[in-house]
Amino acid sequence: MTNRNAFHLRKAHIALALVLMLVVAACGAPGGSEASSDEGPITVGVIVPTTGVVAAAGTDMLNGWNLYWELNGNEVAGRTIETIHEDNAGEPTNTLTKARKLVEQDGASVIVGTLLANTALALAEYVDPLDDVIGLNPAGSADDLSQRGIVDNYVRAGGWQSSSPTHVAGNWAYDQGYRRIITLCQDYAFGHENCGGFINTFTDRGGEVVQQLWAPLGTPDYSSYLSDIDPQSADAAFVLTVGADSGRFVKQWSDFGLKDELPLIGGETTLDQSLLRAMGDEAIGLESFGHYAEGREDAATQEFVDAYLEAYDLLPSYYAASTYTAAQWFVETLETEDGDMSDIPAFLETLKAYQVENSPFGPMELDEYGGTIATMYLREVAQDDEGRLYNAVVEEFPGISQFWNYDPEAFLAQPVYTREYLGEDWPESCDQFVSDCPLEG
Amino acid sequence: MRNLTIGKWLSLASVAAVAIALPYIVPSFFVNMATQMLFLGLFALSINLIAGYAGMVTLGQAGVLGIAGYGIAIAYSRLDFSLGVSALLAILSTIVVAAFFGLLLVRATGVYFLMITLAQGMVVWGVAQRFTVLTGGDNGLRGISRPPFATEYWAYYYFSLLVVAVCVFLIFRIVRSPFGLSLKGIREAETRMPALGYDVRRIKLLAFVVSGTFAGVAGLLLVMYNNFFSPPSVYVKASAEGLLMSILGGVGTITGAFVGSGVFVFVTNYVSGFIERWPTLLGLIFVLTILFAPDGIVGSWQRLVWAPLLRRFGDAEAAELIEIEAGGGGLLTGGEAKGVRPDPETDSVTSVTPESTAERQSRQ
Repeated sequence: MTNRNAFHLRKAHIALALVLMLVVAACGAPGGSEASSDEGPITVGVIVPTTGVVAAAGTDMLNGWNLYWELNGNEVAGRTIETIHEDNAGEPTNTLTKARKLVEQDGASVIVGTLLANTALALAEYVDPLDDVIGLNPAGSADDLSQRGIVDNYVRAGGWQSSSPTHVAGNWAYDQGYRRIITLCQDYAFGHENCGGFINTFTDRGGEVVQQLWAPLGTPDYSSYLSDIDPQSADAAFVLTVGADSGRFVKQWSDFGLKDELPLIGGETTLDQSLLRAMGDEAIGLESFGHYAEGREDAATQEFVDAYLEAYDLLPSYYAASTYTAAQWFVETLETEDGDMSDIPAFLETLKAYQVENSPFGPMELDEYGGTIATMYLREVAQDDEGRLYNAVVEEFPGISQFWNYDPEAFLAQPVYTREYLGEDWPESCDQFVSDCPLEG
Repeated sequence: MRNLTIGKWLSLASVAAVAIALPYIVPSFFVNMATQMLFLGLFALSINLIAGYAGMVTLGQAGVLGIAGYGIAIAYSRLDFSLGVSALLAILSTIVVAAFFGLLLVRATGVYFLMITLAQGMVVWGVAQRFTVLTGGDNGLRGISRPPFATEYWAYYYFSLLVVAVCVFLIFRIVRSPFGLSLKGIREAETRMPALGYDVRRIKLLAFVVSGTFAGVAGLLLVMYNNFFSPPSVYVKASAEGLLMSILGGVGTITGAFVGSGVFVFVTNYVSGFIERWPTLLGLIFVLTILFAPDGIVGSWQRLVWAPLLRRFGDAEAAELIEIEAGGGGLLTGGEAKGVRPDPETDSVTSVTPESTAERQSRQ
């Protein structure tokens, strides 16, 4: 009995000790944050997927980033730029893990990345509350990052919006005399935004969507979708595929004989250079819309293409150009600020005001919402002397805003493009346009 | 006997002391790792509760977690409820959905149980992916905040510690209650339980709901930690990871879930910075655990170190008890859960597959 009492007494002691420790813990706040300085090296964390489903494109991003520093050196305005790469395998949770590691463990004050829209959104959510970290977003094209979910310190440096090229494409398709269209898009946010952009502008003009097909990301076989397409029922097809799906789609599009029967309007990622490398004759002659074309004849693009070719023995994709441009964007800002990153709000202001006169993409700048205003290209797959496939420029559409010709406020009052909202019946009146209203009456 | 019990309390106290002192000792990066370990451990423990104690292996638990995750995210960021109300709504909806899922599951055993949970998880994932208006689809939901008193990393750590500690205490009481014993009864001999007067289906349903509720709490902590929720968090991979954590630590043990999540978080957060092929490493750790320590890290520790130690100090009764407790590992090894270590050569390699669970159950 006494033993038992003694035991309970000990229990009480331990409990008391625990409570005391909790009180002590509550009294003082642990940790302290380091102030960002205006001298010494700047650590830049690069989060891109170099494993997983989008590893090829992610590797291009890393190569493009590294190429810039190899060509220009990593000394900027008296400060050394140190790059640490982390692989997120294309997953949102990994992205957050890596971002925390880079900021908290490695002391990175700049985070560059990432590729897939959902990982970019996760990263945006992480950098948002940090007032001493800047995020550069060269490839995460989710529309809402510069529309309905703007994050002040996550900047589209060398970036784009999913629906920017396809707004142009929809309008262009009508100009070609196409009135009936079939769309086949990848069934996730990026595909919805691409298709939405196309359908919105195409239907404004009076075009009609006769068939909508949605293929999940990672569709192993497109035959069930393609056998569903009757070439007689439409004038053209708009198709947006991503990653390895693109290779399978383009091959089967040709195998099914549709290549000769139905004009194809591709989205940017259907015929991106990172995928053309693995394609053959079936891709030659196919047209697509994008904010990048490795065949652009301007010196800014061709110098980059030559340097990339020499360094990696490959033609650069838009992914490679995106991080290369982001590096250029960051360096020019840092030089304007004389290497001073201590005042982050001021630095952000300079970063956003920076106008790229010329880059592998052409001229680029940000609008007041942080959306990229850039040149869009109609591209055609061609073959160079050494048998490499590349996107040659057919037509340029300069100064394309993320809002197309729509009034920004009216545009933002609509939801982001989803399967449920693709803009068929919007806008209703010319009040919702700032220029070139195509609506009748 | 008394010394050993006090020893147990002392070790518990030292774990608590380290847990409380942690933010003062290590930098924020490691504190955040510990936070992740806590809520992932709770998630693994919720799987452990039905898989380890009741012998019902699930591959859909992330779907249940996802109900709470999407619940709080939608209620807070789309419907503008306060955080507390959102959390409450999220837990309530988790209980309702877990009960519904449970009703579909009570008749199933073994591999059929596994397949149905897999399907349920995929349904949740499919809805999350497709019901864009509500869930944001593939882009996920943003704009969920932490409680106002726990916005700092260390404050959130203490918050998680408190919540998880309460949950662990509750689970500890549950597994030692008559209800917990009846779960073990189902694991050991499901067909005999009705003969003893137990309503097996009701017990299973209750177990699934209770386990789902704890998964829901883990989901809330996860969402508030990341301020972000998207379909990969409810995908079958997340369910499998939870199951792996619980197997790694030791099925049928409480500490095992946290040891398992600790290893998982350490590899994914820290080791991955040095080794690019860290998923391979994780797989290797898992395979080696199954080969050489089929009861998991904690289970093997208890059986191979702790129980012999108790015997040496003359407490054979307690030693045997521990060996039986650790017998949850038999679930995955196909061996009878009587503290006999199965022969790794013959049994355990093939037995990782769900089929072996079915075999085992059909044998009984």
